[in-house]
Amino acid sequence: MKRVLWGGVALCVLLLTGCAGREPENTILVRILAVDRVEVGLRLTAYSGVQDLGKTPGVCLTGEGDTLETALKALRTKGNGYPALTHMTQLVVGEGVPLQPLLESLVTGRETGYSATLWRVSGAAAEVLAGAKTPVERLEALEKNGGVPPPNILDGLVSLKREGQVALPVLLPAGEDLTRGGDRRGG
Amino acid sequence: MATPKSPPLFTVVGMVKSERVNDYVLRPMSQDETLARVSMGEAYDLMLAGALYNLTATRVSTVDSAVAAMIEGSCLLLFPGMAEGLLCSVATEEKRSVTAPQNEPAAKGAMDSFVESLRTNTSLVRRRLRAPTLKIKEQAVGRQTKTPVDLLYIEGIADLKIVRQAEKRLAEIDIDALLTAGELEQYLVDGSKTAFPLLPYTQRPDRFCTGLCEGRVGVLADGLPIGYLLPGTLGAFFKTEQDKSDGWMVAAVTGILRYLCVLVTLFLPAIYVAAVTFSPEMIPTRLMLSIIAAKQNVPFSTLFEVLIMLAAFEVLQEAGLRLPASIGQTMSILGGLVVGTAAVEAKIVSPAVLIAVALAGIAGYTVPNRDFAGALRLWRFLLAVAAGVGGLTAVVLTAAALLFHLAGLETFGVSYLTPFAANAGSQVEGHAVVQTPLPSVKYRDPTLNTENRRKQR
Repeated sequence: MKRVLWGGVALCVLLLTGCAGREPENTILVRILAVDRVEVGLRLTAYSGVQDLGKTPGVCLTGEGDTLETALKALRTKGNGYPALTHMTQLVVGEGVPLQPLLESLVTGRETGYSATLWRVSGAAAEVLAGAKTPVERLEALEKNGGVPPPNILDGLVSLKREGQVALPVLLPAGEDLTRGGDRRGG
Repeated sequence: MATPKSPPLFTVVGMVKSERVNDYVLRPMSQDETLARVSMGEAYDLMLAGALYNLTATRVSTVDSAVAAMIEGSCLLLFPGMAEGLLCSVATEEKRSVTAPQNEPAAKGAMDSFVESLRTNTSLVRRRLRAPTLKIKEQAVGRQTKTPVDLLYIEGIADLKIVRQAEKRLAEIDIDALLTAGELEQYLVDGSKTAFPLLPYTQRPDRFCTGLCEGRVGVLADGLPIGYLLPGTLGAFFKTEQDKSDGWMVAAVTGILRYLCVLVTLFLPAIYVAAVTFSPEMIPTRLMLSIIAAKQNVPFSTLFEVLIMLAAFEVLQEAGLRLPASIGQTMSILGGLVVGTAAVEAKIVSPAVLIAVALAGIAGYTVPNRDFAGALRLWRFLLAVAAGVGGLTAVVLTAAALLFHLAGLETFGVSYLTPFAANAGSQVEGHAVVQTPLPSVKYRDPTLNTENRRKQR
C-alpha cells in the first residue's frame, strides 16, 4: 500500500512539475544559424523567423564561446525560451570559420542533424543577415528559386572529406534583401 | 391442490404456467372417469402411462430432486401411501424473444442473437449445426443459483483436452451465484493479472457456430445472452462474421485497417507527447510552428493535457453507456463538440491534443470486442505517461513490455498471440490479418490442435 502511495505521489510530482521533456510553447525554433569567427572563438547568431504562424515576430539571439558547444550554451542563456536547432534550415558561415570541424560538430550534434543548407558570406555572417528585413523567408526563397540548390551540411562534409574543399554559394546583401552571388570553393 | 380424493399437487408460484397446470394436469384428473374410479396406486400407474395430457410425467423419489425439478418449473403430484411422486413439466416460457444482435450488427447476415434462455440458445445452435457430432454437456454452477452451463463442441473436430479442461474448470467453480458474465469468465480462465480479455464472446449464433466448426469449444450459460468460445486467442478478438460475408478483398482491407486502428488508438497520444516534448525534429517545421501557436497560453504540460483529454473521453463514454440511448447520444454530442470546442477556445487544451485524442478514441471503436478495446484504453494511458516521462525510448520500452505481457498469456494451453506467435514459423493458412479467399483455406488453425484439420476439399 505504501509503495502504491509513493508511486502515486511520484507520478503526481512528475506531472505537476512538468519535468517531462520540453514544452513547445517554451521553444524557439531556430531557422538560421550564422557562425562568425571572433577573438574568443565563435559567435553564433540564431534567427527564429516568425513564430506562432505570424503572431509573434522572429527573434535574434547571439552567443559566443571558444567552441561550438560553449557558444551554443551561451546562446541558450538568452531569450525567453529554449532555442532549438531541430528545425534549422539554413547555416550561414562567415569569413575565416574553419568549415570541417564546424560541420562535423553539427552532424554529430544531438539536435542539429545534417539537412540545413550551407551558405558562405564574405565578412561577418551576422552583419549580412542583420541588414535583411526577413532573412529566414528570403533565404528559403533563395534556396528554392536561386538556381542550383546549395549543398546541405552532409553534402558539404562529404565533399570536404573527399576533395578537401566544397563549393558554397556566397550570400550578398542587397539593401533590405539578400541575393545569391557566385560559388566559392574553400575548406 | 385438486379435490380431496385427488393427489395433492405442488408448484412453485411463478415458475409454472397456470393454463398448463389446469389443462394438462387438473382437467384430466377431474374429468377422467377412469381416474375417478381407481385407487391412488392405480391412478399413479395410469398417470405415469399417459393419463395426463402432459408431454412428460416422470417419477421422483427424493425430496431434493423433487424440489430442484419444481424450481425448474415442474409440478409435483404426491400419492398418499406411496414412496414416489410424479413430476409433470408445466414450466412457464416467459422469456425475451430472439431479436437482432445489438452489439454485432450485420448488414448481410443472420439477424438473430442469443437470449437469456439457455434452451433457446442451444436450439439456435442446433438449428445451424445439425450434425449428430455436436455435443452438449451440461453442469450446474452456483450454490444458490444452480445455473445450468452448457459446453458445446463438435466431436471429431474439437480438441478433447480443451473440453476436459473446461469441464474441470466448470466443476471447480464454487460460488454462491452465477448471474453475470464476469462471474463465469473470471473462474473459467485465470485473467486476474491482465486487462486483456481471455475469452472471446459473441451475441451471434452464426459466429458461435463458426467457432465450433473451427474447433473451438463453446460455453453457454443460462441468463447470459452471449456465447463464449474457447480458447481465446488474439486473432479471435479481431474477427467479425461480416468478414466472411464481405468480398475477400474488402475484408482483407478492413482487416488491415482494423489492426492499423489498434496501433493508432494505442500509440497516437503517446507518440504525440513524445514527439512534441522530446523529439520535435520528427515534426515538420510548419506543423511544429502550428503546435507552438496552439500551445500558447495553455496552462498545462502536454502530458497533462493529453491525460486530461483521455480521462474526459473515458468519462464521456462511461456516462453515455449508463444513460438511455437517446440521452446518451445527446450527451456525447454535447460533451464531444460543445465542451471540446469550449475547452480549446478557453485555452484549457490545445486543438492538436484534442485531435490526437479524438482520433485515438475513434480508432478504438473499430475493435470488434469491447473488452479488448477497454484493455487497449488502459495501456494507452500507460504509454502516454511513459511518453511524457521518457519520450520515444520509454514508449518503445513500454510497447516491448506490452508484447512481453501478451506473449506470456495463454488460455487452455493455447498462446494468446495466436496466430502471430504460436505457428512455429509456419505460414498461417486463411487470414491472420489479411483475409484470403475462403475456398483456398483448406485447413483449420493448427494451434487449436483440432482432431480433424481439413475443413474442405
